[in-house]
Amino acid sequence: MRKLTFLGMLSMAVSVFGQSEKNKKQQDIDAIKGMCGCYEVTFKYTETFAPEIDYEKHLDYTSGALEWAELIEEKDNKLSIQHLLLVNDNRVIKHWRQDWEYENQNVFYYDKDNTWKFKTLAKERVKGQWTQKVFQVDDSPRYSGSSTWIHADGKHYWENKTASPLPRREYTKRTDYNVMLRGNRQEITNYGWLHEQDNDKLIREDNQEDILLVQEKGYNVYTKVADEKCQRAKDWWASNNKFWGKVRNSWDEVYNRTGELTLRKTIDEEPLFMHFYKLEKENAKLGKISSLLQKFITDKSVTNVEGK
Amino acid sequence: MWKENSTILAIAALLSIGLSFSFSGGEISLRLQKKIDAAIRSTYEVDNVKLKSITVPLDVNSATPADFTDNRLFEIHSGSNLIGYLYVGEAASMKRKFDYILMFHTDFTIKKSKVLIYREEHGKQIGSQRWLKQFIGLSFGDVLTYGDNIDAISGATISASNMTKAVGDVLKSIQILKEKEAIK
Repeated sequence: MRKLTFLGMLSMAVSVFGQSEKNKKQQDIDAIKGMCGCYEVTFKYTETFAPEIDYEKHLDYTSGALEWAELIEEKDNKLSIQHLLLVNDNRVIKHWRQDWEYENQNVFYYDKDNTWKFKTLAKERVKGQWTQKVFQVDDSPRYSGSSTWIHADGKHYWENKTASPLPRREYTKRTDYNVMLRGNRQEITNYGWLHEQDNDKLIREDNQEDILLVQEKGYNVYTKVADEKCQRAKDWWASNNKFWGKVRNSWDEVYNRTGELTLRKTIDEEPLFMHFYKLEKENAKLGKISSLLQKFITDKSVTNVEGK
Repeated sequence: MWKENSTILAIAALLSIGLSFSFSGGEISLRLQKKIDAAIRSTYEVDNVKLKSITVPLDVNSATPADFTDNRLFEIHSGSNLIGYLYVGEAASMKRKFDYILMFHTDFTIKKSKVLIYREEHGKQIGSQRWLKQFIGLSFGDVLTYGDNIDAISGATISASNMTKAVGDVLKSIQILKEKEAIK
């Protein structure tokens, strides 16, 4: 009788735990999907603390835009959100993409000089976690990191620290650092969501400790507005998503690797995204896209990536 | 050691900024050299810069409030052009000394000042250009009074007042050097 009671309690505990885990995962999915839709976005960055007294802080960066975030893939353990910018003249610009993968072991970490290291994390290390993989406008890699979504005290957020190349806003302007250690915090709020950043601008050289140049606060507010305001972006994506689906498939073949991936800065003096403009216009086939990507992949070291 | 280096520097008419030079009784650190180099390049917006040490006679130096006994005052050249002057100095913070530089136009008005190395945590605010920019445009006729024509900084009183005094002393000294024709 006592044994039966114990087994019953154990069974109930396992069931409750399983249910709770399932509920937690669903909460995570709801939070991630909570970033989809049409948003008025304000981007704000300011440099804060520098270890060296002679460092002269750069001017703050502020900007704003209308942004459409569309869920372009939904599987049991993967969600993919494509962001599209609508700029002043209602022009649509394909922006960043964030993929979210549950208990994912395959990640890429930015090293420097346009090189990413592809690694496999231990299964126990990623239990209950979501990997966020962020891609550039041409679907090439930017950064990735695995952490747990937190739902507590009425808050829903995900935090991670990982290395990345220079942000696009400083790509062509800065040569005094070459790696950004990004502290990302994405919180779902009652007005939309908040992308808060605590970034370290680093000087990284082979076989030497990273040197911290300056720290930076980023505060990007995504305020939800009616989807209709982003209609032009929705239409643009409807017209172009097949091409970009082929691009993602081509990249997936490249990303299926361990070790390093180094990408050239330019070919024929044009960066990859410029080449894609042409292919997008002609709705190029998979073979042509893959062939372009292969040209950008190199075994040689790429220098002066900062100041690109 | 510093005297030997000083002599070598006096003989060498032009020195590349990257070369080692003595400072305050010892070798200037590579770290400080790099910072001086970077400050000059960004301030004068030139890449090819050379420094020529200005030797101040000991009797003239004894009459100036600022110290010129070692390599502290330089002409800054870009190619064959004189583009300004540099003074490399030290001043006291609460417990230790910090290194600063004054960069001048060719008429000895201050183009920019920078604190390059600061050796304690307290009072780092003096490195901010928001405060240091007060010295821009000042020249050897100007008298500086901390808390009056130079803003005070809360929490950095010792460093900021010493920096103000140091800049004032250099400006007074420049006037004396000019009067005694030690500089043009």
